[in-house]
Amino acid sequence: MKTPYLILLLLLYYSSSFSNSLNTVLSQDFHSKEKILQLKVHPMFGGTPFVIGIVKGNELVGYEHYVAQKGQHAYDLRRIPTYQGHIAFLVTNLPAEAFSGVRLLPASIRDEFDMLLYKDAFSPRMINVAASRHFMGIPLGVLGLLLAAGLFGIGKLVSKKATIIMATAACLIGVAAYDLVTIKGQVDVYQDVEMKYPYLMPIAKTQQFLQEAAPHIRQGSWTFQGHFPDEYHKLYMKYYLADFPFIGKSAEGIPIGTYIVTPEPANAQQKTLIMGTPFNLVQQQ
Amino acid sequence: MEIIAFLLHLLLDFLLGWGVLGLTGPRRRKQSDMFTAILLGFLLETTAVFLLLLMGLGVKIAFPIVIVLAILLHSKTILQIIKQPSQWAQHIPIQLPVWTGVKWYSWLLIVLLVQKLGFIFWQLMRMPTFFSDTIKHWSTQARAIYSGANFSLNSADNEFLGSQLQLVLDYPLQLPIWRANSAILNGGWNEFVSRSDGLLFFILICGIVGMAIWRLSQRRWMALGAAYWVASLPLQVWHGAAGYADIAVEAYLLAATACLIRKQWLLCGMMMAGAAWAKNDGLALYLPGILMAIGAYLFFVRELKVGQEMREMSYFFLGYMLVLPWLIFQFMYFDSPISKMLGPIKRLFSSHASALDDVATVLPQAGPATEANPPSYQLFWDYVLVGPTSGLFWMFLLIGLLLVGKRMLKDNIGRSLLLFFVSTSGIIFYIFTYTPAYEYLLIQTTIHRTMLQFSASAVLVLGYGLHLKLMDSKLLIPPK
Repeated sequence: MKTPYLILLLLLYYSSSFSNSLNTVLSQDFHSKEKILQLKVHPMFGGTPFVIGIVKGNELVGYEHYVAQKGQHAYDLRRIPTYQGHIAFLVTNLPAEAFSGVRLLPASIRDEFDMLLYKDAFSPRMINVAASRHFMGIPLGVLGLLLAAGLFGIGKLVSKKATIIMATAACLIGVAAYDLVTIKGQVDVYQDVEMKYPYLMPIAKTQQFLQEAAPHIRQGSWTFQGHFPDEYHKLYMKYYLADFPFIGKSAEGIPIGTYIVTPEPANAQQKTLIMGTPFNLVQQQ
Repeated sequence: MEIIAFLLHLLLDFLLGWGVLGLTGPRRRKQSDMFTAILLGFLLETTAVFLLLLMGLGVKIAFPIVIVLAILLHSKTILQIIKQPSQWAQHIPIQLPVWTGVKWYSWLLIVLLVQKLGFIFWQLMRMPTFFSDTIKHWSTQARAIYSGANFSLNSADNEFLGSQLQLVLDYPLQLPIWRANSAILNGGWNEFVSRSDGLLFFILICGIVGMAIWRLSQRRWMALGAAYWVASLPLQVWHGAAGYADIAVEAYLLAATACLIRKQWLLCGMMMAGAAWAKNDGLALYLPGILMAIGAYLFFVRELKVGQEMREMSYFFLGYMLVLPWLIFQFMYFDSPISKMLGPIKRLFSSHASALDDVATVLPQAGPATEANPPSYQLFWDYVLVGPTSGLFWMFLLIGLLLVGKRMLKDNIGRSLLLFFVSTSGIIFYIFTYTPAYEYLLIQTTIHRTMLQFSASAVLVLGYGLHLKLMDSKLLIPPK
């Protein structure tokens, strides 16, 4: 069918945004009808951030970030504005073995609470954008606003306090209600990070490698060599090793004695000091 | 050790700022000035070290020189303490606020604020330096300055501004220098040192907002509520420990807005200098709005003559001179942020064909949606106003301003604050619509950080409007 073409398109679209492509099809050829997604996730994938994409025709028309929760949980597709009408494919970047059950169904009240209070996990996106939370398909912020408006109305009926005082108090209660859900997300992150302490995903392996490599590099200068699958790890290494002289690219090549961080095996002019996964530390001879 | 070093660093900045605040005028320093004093000290410390670095000194020599300067600034007081400690103690200008009769809802707000502080502190103690811009620039540059291994201010060197490490060369050095100084005080680099300034800025933001609203509303719960409102923005606690410069811009801009309300032009100029010295946004996004606000205030105060207006305005520029060394340095080696910002406007008047092509592709972003590019107003609505990151905050703020706006227009400072708010919002819209920053709106990265920078100041703008309403309703005791 069109699947290979579709996967190619998705790979191209996502190559700059995600390390994994959206090549797992969750469902195809259905009508959204405000249905939510129920997934049974394998415990091994619990806490993994992932993306669900909407494909109409042959085009990816929308996507949203989620966190996989082990066991059976509901995931709100209504957050994706393009999740309307006929959907050709519902795709994700998690592998097919991550799920043992996939269902599309109308949301029950239990599902609504499940989706509102889903367990958050630490993600680098947290510095730029907050997790999207909805209840009954309504954004939580809008609910906070409605709560404040309702409280203000009731307050005006039962109390003689000045309008300005009443309005300020109602807004603060709306903010606090919203914030309680945010705090719940912070507690989730706290538990997630503490469980893996002192290493943080997705740099855990890089952290372990650098702890071992830094005492060697301390004795001289260092550089990179080879193709790194993810630039982010290089950035983290530059930060971690910024105390030690870095040798940039030059026409003369790498000076003898320089420590080299590389994902590739040592060549004939290099001696391996640390054989790690996924990086090696070698020294130019 | 890192906490002791952090507190010592804070004390140093307080002493520097408090000392210089005393020199800026005969006005009696108040406890509300404490927070501004720390910010001023932060600015003075990093500016002085930058100048010493430019002179070729290493940071490990430059920073102790600044410590000595801070001690000299307070030498008279130190001598007084040594000679007559009991007499000196009686003249301490700071009195702690009375905490009797605190209502349960105020305690609740305090608990919520402490939760935020706790979460930031936990991140600093347990999480590594992780977020991309921190490792791409801010803390990597700081570590390079501290070690001296990959850093130089000599443009002929390979290590010029850490260029070997491929850092962002035109970013200001305020935060990297402060972190390098922290590492010196701490006796070495660690992950707390790498981002602890975020905690300081978070405390200052809550403190400045709280103190300002307390003064404007004369109500403790409103002051605590305003501080909590700003602190509860979902990104705030992350920025308190992430090592980014956005929270620094937020703090300086907030302090500048508070100075604008108090008509302290010199200090306002200094705080805006701090914002520009923290990140280029401080210059490009916020300076025009503050200048318009001060200009409008001076223009509408009828009793002032033209000469007086110019003199008042010159105080602002005098304060702003603090960032001049960096701006000259930046001008010498890089494109100015203002030049970049005006790029699309300049291209409108350019006869160069390719430049016009650029405009043709950029301009439609403000208009009807194209298949590839949704219009920016739609994105602002979806992401900023209805989105989860700060939607509730901006909805409440805009509704609040609509309710108090008419009253603010009748007040000189109120009108200026509204002008600041509207013009700055306009500049943000312009930047994220007509420049390549549109992409950062589309993928929701920088836009929310920019809105965070602006949020605390916006609370003060609304707070002033509430103050006017409270005055009208006779719910405030008029100032004597």
